[in-house]
Amino acid sequence: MLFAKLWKIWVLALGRSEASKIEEVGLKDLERIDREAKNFGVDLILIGGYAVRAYTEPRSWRFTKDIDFITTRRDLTALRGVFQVLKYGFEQTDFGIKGSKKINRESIELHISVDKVMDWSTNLEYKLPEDIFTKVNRMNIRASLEESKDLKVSVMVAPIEDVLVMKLMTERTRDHFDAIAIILDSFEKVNIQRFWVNSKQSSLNQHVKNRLNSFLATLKKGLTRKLWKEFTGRKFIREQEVTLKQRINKLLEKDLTVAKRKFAN
Amino acid sequence: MPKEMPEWLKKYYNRLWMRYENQVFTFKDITKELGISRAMTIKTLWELEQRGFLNKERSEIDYRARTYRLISPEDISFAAGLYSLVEKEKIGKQSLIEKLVFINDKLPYALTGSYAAYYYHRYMVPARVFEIKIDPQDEGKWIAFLTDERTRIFISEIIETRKISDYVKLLHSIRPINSIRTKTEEGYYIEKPEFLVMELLERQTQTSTIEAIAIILQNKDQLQWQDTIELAKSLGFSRRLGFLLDAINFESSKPLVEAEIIQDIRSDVKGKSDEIFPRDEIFLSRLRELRNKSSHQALLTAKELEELTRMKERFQGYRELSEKWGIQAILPRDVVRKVVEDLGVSLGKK
Repeated sequence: MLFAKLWKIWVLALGRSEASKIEEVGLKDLERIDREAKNFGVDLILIGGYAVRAYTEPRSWRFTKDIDFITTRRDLTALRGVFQVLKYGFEQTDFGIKGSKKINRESIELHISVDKVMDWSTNLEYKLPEDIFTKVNRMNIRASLEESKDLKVSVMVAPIEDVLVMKLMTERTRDHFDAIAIILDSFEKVNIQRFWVNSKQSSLNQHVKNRLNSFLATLKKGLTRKLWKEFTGRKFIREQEVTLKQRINKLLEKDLTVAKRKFAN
Repeated sequence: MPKEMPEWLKKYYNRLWMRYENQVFTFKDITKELGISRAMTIKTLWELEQRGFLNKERSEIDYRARTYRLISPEDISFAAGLYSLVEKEKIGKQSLIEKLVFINDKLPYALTGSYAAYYYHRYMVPARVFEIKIDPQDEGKWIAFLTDERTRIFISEIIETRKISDYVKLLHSIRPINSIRTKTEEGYYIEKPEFLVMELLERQTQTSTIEAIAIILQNKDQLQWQDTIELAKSLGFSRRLGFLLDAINFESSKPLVEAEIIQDIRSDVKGKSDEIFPRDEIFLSRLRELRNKSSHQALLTAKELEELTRMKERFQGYRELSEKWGIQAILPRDVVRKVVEDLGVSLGKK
């Protein structure tokens, strides 16, 4: 009887910690890769879902398990050893390298893109801007699950403008949700001029402008509420709608200013 | 928070129950009914809500506007009875899952939605919103039992600005709970994968479609296919299910789902339907946007036209499968391909 009770408690604790274990492993690997890359003189910059986490408030939304980096260094064989130690495979691809690590029934995917980020859904690419290494920030990324809430790691994260453009570039609704969350939570950190200059450098400015206008249209139609609910399970309230609209308009206005100034010159 | 009330609160609760019973009331109503100050009304409502003896709903138009409904004395007694069975030192410390394990068969329920989906696919980590299917008559009992410092229960939209650890949404089950659930190793009940896949196909959002694909991929050898097929038939989801299975096989370039299963589903499908799949409002809106643009082609540059064509084609990637299943499939191929790739299928890991 006692054994059965103890067994049940153990099984329960195991089940509860599974998601947080994945998160813990992911965050620790992230920190280790960042540190080892620095030791090998490889400039790795965090992008993707973890970068979004660095710029957004911890909420109850669905977090990503995959780790995405970007670099300008073509020869990444120096990192092969680190990948192996951390038990990720090491596979060269057309865009960089990738690896995968299994933890029980789950896996963490690791991608390092070189020079640019390709998007499957649009076939568009974002070229790494020249100033990215000078603008990069060392930031804390915190665990999102209650069980590991005290865990945080410090990593070099891509500037907010670049993360935002990459999220606005795609057709995936998940990325649109991330972009909205960044605009809501960290808009004051966005250097709007840099945002447009970098979009233009990758010939994405028109695409980004269209996307932002499309966000305004979806706001009007009430679809942003649906998107928010889909990813957080919660309601997108009126105050958030108003703030989002104002900020998107501010982004678009500044682009017009740039265009006008150029025209005047 | 123990499930008991101090005398002053009990007095107010009783007066409100006598007046409103299960009916909805507002802040103003209480102030008037109890003849107390604004501050005291806030305190009374807060104390009742914290204990799970009152259900608060916020307005969808203005989240500051709230309505309230009392939980019945019988339901409160039920929850208090359950709490008396919990060891004193554990009260208030149990996680939501521990509470569900504890309740066991005392109240029928099944965890559903993204949390249950994650249990089967281990792909997309769920939001901290637990959707629980219950019998409608047990609603009050669940609110009274599950509410604590970390957990809030919602019946309609989840509108909450305060940070809470767990959000619970109660859903009324249209089927007998016992027929749709299974017990996990951890000791709590979740919806069976066959029913859950149907639930996800019914929701038709991009996320629910991705989750349905992930469950199928991760459990294709454990799923009770005959039950799944029958369920799909009874719900009118045969076309959706058949199309999705075909799309999985197509993207993975191998028959991950046996041809006989798809053939069996196909036998139920006759002619064409005007069904659009998935009827995801965000997809549909994007598609409409692209069509509007197409009707003004003359105003577009060659580059814009090229991009527009590519964007439109994204929603028409499964023309042959659309024909086969007699639906208008607007599911972009990259959505299916990403799940297949992420779960290691096309890499030959499965």
